[in-house]
Amino acid sequence: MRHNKRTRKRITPRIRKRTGAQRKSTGTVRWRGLALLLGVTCLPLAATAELKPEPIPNVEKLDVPYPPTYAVVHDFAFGSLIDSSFGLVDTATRRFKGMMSAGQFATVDHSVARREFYVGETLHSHGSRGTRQDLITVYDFENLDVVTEIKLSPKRMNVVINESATGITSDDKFLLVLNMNPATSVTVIDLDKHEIVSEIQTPGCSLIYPDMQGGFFTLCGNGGLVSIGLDAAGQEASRWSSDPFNDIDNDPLSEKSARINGVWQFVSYAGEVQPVDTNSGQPAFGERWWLTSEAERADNWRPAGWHGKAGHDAGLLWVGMTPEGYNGSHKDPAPEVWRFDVGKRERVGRIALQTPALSITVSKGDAPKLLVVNIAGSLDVYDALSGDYVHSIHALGETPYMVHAVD
Amino acid sequence: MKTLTTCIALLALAVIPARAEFEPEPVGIVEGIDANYPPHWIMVRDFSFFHMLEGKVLVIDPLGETLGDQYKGMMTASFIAGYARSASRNEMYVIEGFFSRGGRGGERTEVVAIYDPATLNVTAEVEIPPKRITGMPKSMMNSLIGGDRFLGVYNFTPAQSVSIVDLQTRAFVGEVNTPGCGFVIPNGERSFTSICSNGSLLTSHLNEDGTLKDTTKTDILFDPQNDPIFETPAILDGVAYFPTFSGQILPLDVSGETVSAGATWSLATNDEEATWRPGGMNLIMVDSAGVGYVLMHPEGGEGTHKNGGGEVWVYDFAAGERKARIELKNWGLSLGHSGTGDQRYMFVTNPDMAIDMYSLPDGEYIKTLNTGAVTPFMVEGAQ
Amino acid sequence: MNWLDKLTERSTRNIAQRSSRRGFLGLLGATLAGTAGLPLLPVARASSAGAGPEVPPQSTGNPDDPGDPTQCDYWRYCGIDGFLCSCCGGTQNSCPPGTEMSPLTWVGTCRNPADGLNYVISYNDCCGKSSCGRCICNRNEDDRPVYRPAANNDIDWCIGTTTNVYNCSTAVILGLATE
Repeated sequence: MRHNKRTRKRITPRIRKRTGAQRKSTGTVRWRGLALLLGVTCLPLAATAELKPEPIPNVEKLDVPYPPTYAVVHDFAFGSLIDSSFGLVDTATRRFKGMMSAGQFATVDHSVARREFYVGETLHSHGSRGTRQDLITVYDFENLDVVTEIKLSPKRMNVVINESATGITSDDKFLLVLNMNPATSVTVIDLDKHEIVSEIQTPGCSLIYPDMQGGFFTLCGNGGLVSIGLDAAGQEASRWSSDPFNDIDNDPLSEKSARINGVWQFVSYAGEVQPVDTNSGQPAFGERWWLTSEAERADNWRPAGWHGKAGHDAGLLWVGMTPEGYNGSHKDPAPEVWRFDVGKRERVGRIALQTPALSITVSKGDAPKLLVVNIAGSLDVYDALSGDYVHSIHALGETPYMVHAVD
Repeated sequence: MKTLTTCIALLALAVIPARAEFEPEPVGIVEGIDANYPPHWIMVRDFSFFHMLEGKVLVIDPLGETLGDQYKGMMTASFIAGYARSASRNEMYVIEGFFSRGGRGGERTEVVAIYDPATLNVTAEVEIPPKRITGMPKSMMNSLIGGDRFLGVYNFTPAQSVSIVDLQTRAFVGEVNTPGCGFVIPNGERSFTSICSNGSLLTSHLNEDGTLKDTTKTDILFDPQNDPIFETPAILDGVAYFPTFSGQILPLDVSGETVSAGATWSLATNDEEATWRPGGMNLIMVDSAGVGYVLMHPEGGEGTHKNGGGEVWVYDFAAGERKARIELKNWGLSLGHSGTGDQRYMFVTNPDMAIDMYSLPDGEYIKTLNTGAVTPFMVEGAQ
Repeated sequence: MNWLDKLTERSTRNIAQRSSRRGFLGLLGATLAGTAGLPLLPVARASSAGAGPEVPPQSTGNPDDPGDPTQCDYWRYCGIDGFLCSCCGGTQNSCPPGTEMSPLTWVGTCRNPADGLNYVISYNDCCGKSSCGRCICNRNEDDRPVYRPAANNDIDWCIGTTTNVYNCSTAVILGLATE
């Protein structure tokens, strides 16, 4: 500080007015008329409202609760994995509201009621080397600042953005974090206390799909699922294994799924929907149906996108689609998004995107917006019902692969 | 991670029967490099401006045909890291900083990471005070002093000092305060010189163990407000040639224990060239044959000193004579060079952040290297 | 400057190229290659191309403080170097939420076109989150080398803060300049 005072006094232009940190500086204060004389060359006559000194420091806060138009864009930072980030944007005004830095293979969850984000991250003491530290870092909505850190065993799953690597239970009580080292388990974190309360072993099974009863299920390598019930303390209270229902060898269900009114809508690589109803008792398998007609399948229409599914409790499912399907196209960009009525099991809309999608999501409410992170790295906003393009938000990082509506 | 890889590998072996044509291949092979890098190889310093915690120093053979041929390996270089190399020990040094919580900060640790050029592994880390200057990189932010016995690292907190590391014992020796002055320009037996904000130069003389013996200071040698010298000189035969913003060269004798200035001379050779100015990041250099190069732009003036240039002017610095003007294929932002004899090359970082390669001293364009570096602000010879 | 124009042209071209690609890996390559277009900006000099039309326009709301604070040609930015906080969740004189404004920095003098007066501008960095990455802008009026720290914009001015990690830069009015 002293150094700064010295140097400023010596070599910087003299300041007429000072505030905050500069108040103690001792530059020569001169009569304003002199400045006016110096600056007079093309001075408009109405130079009455001279700009006032501004405070230092000055840091923004966000209004809470958030408007329903906020979304988090996940910059995976593929070329710089240890330095990823989450950008908070207002999809209505296109304004960038702030960001959260994160380590590698990060995840994000949020609770609107608690006004908190939960960032899962893996850090190393010396950047890309050294001791590994895994964390759930809790941020508040108002300041986007760290509230607390929850230290995890260094085994949280490091995976390219996957929504189902974490989840929050339907009662908003527990955050669930998938571990893999390579044995799989799920760490249960109490969101009231910001504390780990249990670790549930899930041998042979992975990924997390919260059910509507405060528990979750996980998908297993044998094609079945295991459903775990939690008690009020976050301990395993029940466990149920289904028969195999997922033909992983021939036409696997994509793990990128959407939950609509408590029913997880799994979609196979080829385009067949398998609903899994979690509203009561054990998960129940609904009747399968196809997104595509036989003719469309013959034309190679298939589901696509990095995360190409989104749901709305009006009973609507949006799926990114590509007409250039093949064995391996399931993560290709999707030039179209199709909208389905899951009650009627039929397509009710078809949106040809401005730019092919990587990942999609749909906001809640009566006028839902379809949010698309496209292959050019921008976020496109569409009316989710009419399919009308609204606008785009650009400059969202190096590899923004995922978007989450914060509603 | 290793366990996982092994599991998957074993699984693959179990499932896929090995055919006669293809023997199963071993898992766990890590390539090495010949520790004696050829002189034409380059170290591409990617400061990763958009992700400063994941900077890199790439080892590149620019004569390779394909990216695969060119790319020999890399070292991570966190938070606008410095880089140095000792020829006698054949070691490389990355001076880098870490934060316990990555991009959101936490405790800062600064180290000199010592690399083995054959494996590109860290063989040792010497912790130094977490005061190293960070910002846009300049070559003299760290230097070898006393042959290559010591490494000096410029600190800015904003109090200025230099951390001295004994590279022989791999130990931090201490800090030398350089109040009002910055940078580390080696001179004499075991001294280094810093540039002061009033236009003078401060020389710190070290004892045999790297501690400070005493200091000397020059008179005011240049006008730091109206025509400052750039922070980066080219050093040839014990003389550091500093360009100034207006296009003068200030030669500074750094061969002895105390430094002294020679007469300034102009980069421009006639009135028509008077508006040309030096500019860019690493904007001046001397190749292995002693030929000097300066990156120049036309229509220079206040605020253009980082603009780079469309030409490289070639000099005999000792004689103060310009030899040639090289018109660059693309605008240049920073210069580097490698090679010896008639295999000398210039590398110019262009606005697309690709690296244009030219032969030296004639300046014939050879090709453009796309190394994958995001912001390769500096390129230097591997030797 | 011609090379800045070239950048804009190149970015547009990249987007077009990327849009026509299909496979995800192709996309990855393209996205990474695409980012190579941005980074020349750290050294870009004053130009509206530095920030560009990529962000929605903003205004200070004060006719005496004219221009768009998301654009590199906004009058206060005559000596700035870095990501503009106006594009990062802050404003021309405030930091994005969750960051910390550095108390120390360098100051420059910029002329306000509305009143023709020269103002002393303090370029306080915002710290504690990694590079914002948006609206990079570099103008060097009155910038002097690093050995004159209080007149230099190359230095990471996240100094005197909890962490040295740099997020974005502001341009705060300290007062009228007199000479």
